[in-house]
Amino acid sequence: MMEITVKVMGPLIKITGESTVLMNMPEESTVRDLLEALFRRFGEDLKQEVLNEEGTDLAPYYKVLINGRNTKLMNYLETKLKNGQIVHVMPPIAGG
Amino acid sequence: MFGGYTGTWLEINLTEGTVEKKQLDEQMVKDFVGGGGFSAKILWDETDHNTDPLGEENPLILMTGPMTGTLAPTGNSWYVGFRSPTTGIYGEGRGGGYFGSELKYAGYDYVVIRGKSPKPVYLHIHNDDVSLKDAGHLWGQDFFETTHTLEKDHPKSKILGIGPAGENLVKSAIVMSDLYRAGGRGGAGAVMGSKNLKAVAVYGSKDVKVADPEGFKEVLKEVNNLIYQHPATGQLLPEYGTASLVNGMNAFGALPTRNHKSGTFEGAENISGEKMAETILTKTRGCFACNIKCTRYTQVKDGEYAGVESEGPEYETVNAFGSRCGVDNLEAIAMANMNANRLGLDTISAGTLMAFAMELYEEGILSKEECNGLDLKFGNHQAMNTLLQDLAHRKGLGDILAEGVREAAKKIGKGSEKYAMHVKGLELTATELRAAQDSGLGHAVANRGGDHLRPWSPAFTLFGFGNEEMNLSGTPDPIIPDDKARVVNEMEKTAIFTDLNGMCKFTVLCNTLAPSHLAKLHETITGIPMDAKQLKTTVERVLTLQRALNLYRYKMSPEEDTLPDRFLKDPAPSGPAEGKTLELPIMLKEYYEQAGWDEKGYPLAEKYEALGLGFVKDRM
Repeated sequence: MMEITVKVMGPLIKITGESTVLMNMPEESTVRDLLEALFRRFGEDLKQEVLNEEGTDLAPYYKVLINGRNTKLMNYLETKLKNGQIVHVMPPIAGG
Repeated sequence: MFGGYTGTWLEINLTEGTVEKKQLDEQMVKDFVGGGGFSAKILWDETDHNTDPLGEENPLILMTGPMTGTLAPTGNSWYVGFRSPTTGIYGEGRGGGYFGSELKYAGYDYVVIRGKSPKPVYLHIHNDDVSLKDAGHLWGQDFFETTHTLEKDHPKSKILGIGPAGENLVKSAIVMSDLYRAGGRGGAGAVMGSKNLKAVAVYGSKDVKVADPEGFKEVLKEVNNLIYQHPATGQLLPEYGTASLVNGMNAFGALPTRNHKSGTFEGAENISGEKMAETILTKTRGCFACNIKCTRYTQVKDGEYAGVESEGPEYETVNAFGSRCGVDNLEAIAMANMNANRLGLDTISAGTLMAFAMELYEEGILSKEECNGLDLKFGNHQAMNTLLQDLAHRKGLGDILAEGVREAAKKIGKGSEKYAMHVKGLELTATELRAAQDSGLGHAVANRGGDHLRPWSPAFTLFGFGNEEMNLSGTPDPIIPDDKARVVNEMEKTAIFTDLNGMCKFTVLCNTLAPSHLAKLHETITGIPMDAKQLKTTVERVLTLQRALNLYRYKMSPEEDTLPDRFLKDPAPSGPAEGKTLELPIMLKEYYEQAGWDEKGYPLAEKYEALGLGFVKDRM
């Protein structure tokens, strides 16, 4: 098993109750597998927030980062995870 | 006269104690619009490298734009223009609130303040009645006290002014308005202080007319819908303010930490927007004509910092007094924010100065005795707040820091220059540049020095806010230099155009509005034809004139388009950019080419002609 540290922010904290969540995932798991495990753990509210209306992709402007890198610069939701990685599930954020 | 303009400006001579009303030059309007465009032209005409920034000969230009005071979304901005005492080059700044629109309602597009008063004065404007009044009783007061005093004497007036930092000619002193709004990084407050001008109180009851009211209404419907429907301006900024960036920037390794040593801060969650909402946030606010309303209002009710109450802190301030100083105590940051507002200090530069001093202390370059007896290690928020007061009052180390980080490093010596985080003398801001290469380029080429707002390109490169009309789409890789010159070039067109017109940059920061929307607003308000292409030419004209001002009037070398070695030579120690440095030369080369400048960074002679800036050639 791999231990993945998941960090959430903004409105997602209200659903998960905490900003950091430790997840144990089987070897070879992907980002998609991790999201599904999170949805199983935290329920439909999280899924509705993170995924688009069709449930097929991340909601607009949502991002998943692995160690600070946008997974869209990798294999996106099919990117394979490694033990000890930090995954950010990031809602839209603005400022400056 | 065109719509959006009152047609009149004020010339104040503080040496002579005179006030003159003058007619707006229509060609200036067509060529330079307002804001930093007018300021650059006035400074070009009147100043050069012999102009002492704190001397009588440096004009302080208090500007608005044609949208200030109209119902254009966020049409509330005032601007200051000046030769910066901090950098020696072009200085400008923008503030929001209500002062700018009130100046327009009093009947004035801008005010040029010249000379130096023999004693402290303030400028009182009530429609046609304009006079200089004694400010002896205000001198020494902080900006909150000054505001409250003047509001009693001049009810309904909007107040702009300086705090003790400006009076003491501190180079990071800023001009404040409406209690909490600030503008003029690079020492606008010191320029105002050097003139013995404490404040401007303005009240007006006139109109600002738009040229095409029906057309304007139609455009308003369109742009307001865009603003309300866009996630950044319709939801995120109103609900969370800017401090929600803390966790996001930290995730990307882009949150400057401990004087920019790294981009990840272990205490980020404690100073985040989420934490603020849970603890000290009491309400939200907006400026005149704002439909975004990003402002937070905070109060600390108990503990060490009980009694602290102010607007903010916004993201830049949270970073400046937070992670950059290794401070993870949000209430201490709120204290520093409130005191900076009272003292009239630029929070960004002040935070950089605190972080600089902390690193020198930790490196053993400054002793405890040299740090005013403070144990100035990173994270010591009590020491940070004490040093902030010392900065404004030029006490001990504060007197050295009061010259700005570049000059302070020169004075301290002992290798301290490598810890001075600035571009062209203006202190850096809240983006770890190795993790957002585009922002490194933006800072390096900004005409006023270390500036994050020309433009704030991480909105696209990190947070993904693109725009079809601007050809900003897909997922750029923020830690490589590819295509970043084009991104900066594209985004600066909208950013700077808002600054000429009187809008807040937050309408374009996340690419909510595109050039065509801004052009339509401008055209219906002023009656001056404008489309997206003309908008780009207008911005290019202004930026090129500001560049020429720096190069030829102030003798700046284009080699100053650079960044501290920390970014160029030291690999990022952690985060997604770990092992990476900033690849500035590649981006600069592309940026110069796209701008029509030579390989050294000088605009080509034909560029000046094409932009209607032929007069620059005589001084090349």
